[in-house]
Amino acid sequence: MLEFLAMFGFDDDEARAQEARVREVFNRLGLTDEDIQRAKVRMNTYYDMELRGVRKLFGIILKDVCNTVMMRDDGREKVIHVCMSPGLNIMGSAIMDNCSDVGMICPNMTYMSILGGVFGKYTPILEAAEKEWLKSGAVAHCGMVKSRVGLIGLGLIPKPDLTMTTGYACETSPKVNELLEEVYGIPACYVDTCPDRELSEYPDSRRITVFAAKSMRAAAGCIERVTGFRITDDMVWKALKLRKTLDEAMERYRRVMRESDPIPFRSTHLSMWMAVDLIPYTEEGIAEAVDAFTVLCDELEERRSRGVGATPKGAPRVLSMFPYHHTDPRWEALANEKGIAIVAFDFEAMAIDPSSGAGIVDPNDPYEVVAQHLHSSFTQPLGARVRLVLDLCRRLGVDGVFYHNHLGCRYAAGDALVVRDAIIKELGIPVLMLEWDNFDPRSYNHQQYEAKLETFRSMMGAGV
Amino acid sequence: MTIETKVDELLLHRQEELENAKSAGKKVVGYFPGGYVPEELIYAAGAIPICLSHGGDARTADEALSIMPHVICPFARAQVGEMMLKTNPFYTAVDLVVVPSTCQHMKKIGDFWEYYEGPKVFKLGVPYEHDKDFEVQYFRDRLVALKERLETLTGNTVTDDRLAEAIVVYDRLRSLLKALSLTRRGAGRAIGALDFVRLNHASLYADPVVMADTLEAVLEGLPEAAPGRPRVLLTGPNLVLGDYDVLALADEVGAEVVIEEIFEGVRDYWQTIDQTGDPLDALVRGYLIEKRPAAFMRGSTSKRLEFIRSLIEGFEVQGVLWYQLLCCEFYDEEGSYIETALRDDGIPVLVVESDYHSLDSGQMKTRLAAFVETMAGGPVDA
Repeated sequence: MLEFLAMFGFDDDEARAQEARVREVFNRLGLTDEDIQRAKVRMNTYYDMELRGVRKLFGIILKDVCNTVMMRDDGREKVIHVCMSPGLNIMGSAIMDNCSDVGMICPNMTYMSILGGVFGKYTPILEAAEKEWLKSGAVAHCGMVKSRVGLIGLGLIPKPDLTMTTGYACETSPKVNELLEEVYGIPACYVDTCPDRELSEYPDSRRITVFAAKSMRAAAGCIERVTGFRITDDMVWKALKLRKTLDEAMERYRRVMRESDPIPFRSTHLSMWMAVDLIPYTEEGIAEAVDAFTVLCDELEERRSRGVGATPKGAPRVLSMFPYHHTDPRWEALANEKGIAIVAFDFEAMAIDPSSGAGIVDPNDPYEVVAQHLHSSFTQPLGARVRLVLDLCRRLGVDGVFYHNHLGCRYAAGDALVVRDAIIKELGIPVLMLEWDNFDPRSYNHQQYEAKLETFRSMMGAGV
Repeated sequence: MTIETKVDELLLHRQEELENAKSAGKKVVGYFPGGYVPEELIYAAGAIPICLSHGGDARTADEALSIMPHVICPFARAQVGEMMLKTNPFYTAVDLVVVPSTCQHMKKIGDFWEYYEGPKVFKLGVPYEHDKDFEVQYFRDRLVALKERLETLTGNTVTDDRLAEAIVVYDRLRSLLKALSLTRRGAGRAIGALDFVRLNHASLYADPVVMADTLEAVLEGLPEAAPGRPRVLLTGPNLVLGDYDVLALADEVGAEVVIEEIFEGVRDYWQTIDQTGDPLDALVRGYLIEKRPAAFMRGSTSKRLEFIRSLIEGFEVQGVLWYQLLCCEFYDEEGSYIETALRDDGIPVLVVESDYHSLDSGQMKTRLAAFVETMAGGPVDA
């Protein structure tokens, strides 16, 4: 176990101090010594474990899983569960730092990294959800909502006192929480906006962000009613200020990936970015995350200076539409093996720079600042999304695009053909459309995928 | 004259009316179904409201597959297919299209129409909840924005008086549909399901005054209800003009669909709009707050289940037919829950899925026949 914990960036002292806790968590998650041995092999196969920054990031993710499992043991009696809720982790930080008996968990992504990416044991969670009201197959219901239902149904996360989600781009997620309330008696609170942006208003989204801010403030009221804890504006401002340090560290990391040739580490690590991004950190946790990214970026830049990377120099660069696979590193690993460098993904494209303040109506409302993520390409109407993606492709100078056609997400999948055609027509670069479920390892078909990657690679025509 | 013939005539006549109206400079404003777009606003602006709700035709839905993938529901694809084909005179006549932001599929309709057809789309935001002031205010603000857009389009001012008159016109239509629907509650004179649905669909296209007059005439001439057939409630997300296979098949195997509970495509007639006070506020109350929530609204499941249970009791329903369009993911979720709840109540439930390719298959008929036998306690003479 101590050797295993070293792979998560724990030094000797910390590993000894944490060993009993981690064993208890693994026990509750049904992870055996045999699983640990297999996990070691997987980590060494798919991830650049020689990088201290990678180990530190894995450590942060593992600690979040442990904190989630042990939330009530640690004294946080009231537990709020959030999922598909960008921005609510800021409220989570406000709670985690100012209240010792209430906690917020955002478990999906960190559990996907650990149970999926590291241990390769994610399918039972999805199957548990499919025994409830969610259907199997990539089209019917997305793996993200199945994860939520499966984790609760199997008791792998504490049964929450309140669930929260957003309906920014999805009806399935709120409907799941509504049915969790009907079936399990867990009260649900929703944060919404009104997705009626018109192309003629682009890039102005103030109507949308102001609504979302009000909805978040109302959700804070719901949290107070259920837990007795009041989130003040000052707490949110402080959480935003701390969060800025992490955002800056992550932006440095994204810049390194975009600007390096060859890409300095494998694309299998990219899903860890989202897992780390959504954790509702304490102040101490943020500092640890910033440190991890700083160490990682230093190492990546050092590799860049030596010309070391995961793909050959000059390898074709691609933009990933919709994020990477979250529970199965084989997708990104094979892409790199075939000499394809994934340099960015489309969520990074923003209609308005959130830090510019241009999208804010009331600068004294911290929730409006939180809501600025809604300028992302992902939540735009089709015409705006096309513009943003084309612009991002041009700025990055990519040679091709992976379109991760996550079928369960009607919002993203619905646009796929139009966005693909626009890229091909306007930029003359190939698009590889991959029909899959972002979160379901069962969607992997090695022969089919390998053949597609080879064809795609040859279409990009780089002489590597 | 059968009701089917009467409806065909109404729709044909309506097409001619639209052509003449457009020649005379009148504007046609289309809107997509779901019951969240107050057509009273359109009517009060002096424009012709048309609910764009053709469906049931696989060819139209499949036409859109070149730009819209199969994971979008067939109704949404059919609306994009109509946009591409430009052969449906109702769709080609519109000068403005109002798209309510209800479900993701409806939003895609709006996005695609906007992308390909330009600024003749107005997206009407529908908040998912309405227990907070800012949500209600948002909807009201969007109705004001729609009103202004209509005024610009038509050159007419939407006054409170005109709006109040429009509410009276449409309330009459809703009341007559309700009266017609309620004839199916017990023994006596009753309208058949297919006839009722055809008339309901026609009401989404025809002139509301002409339609109301037609409904009054139908009410006076109803046949005796056919006794003895198992009584069925039809529910699901969508049942639009042209999508009649499920009703025809149900009739063929001997089921009597006595009531429908459908989100899109069937005009909601269960409540009228309050005719007192500020008419715009009345529309906000009627179309958002007091309206029975569709499944995309937060907290709708228990309310819909309660309503379905009241319909089962009120219409002496013996079984529930859930008509599910493929890829409608959130009705699919809610359907699983409601199905379990109804089965626990001892009500047989059959889920039938469609992507608009013909339901008239042997397998489907067998399933429906078995369902009818379950309710009847044995074989039924259809």
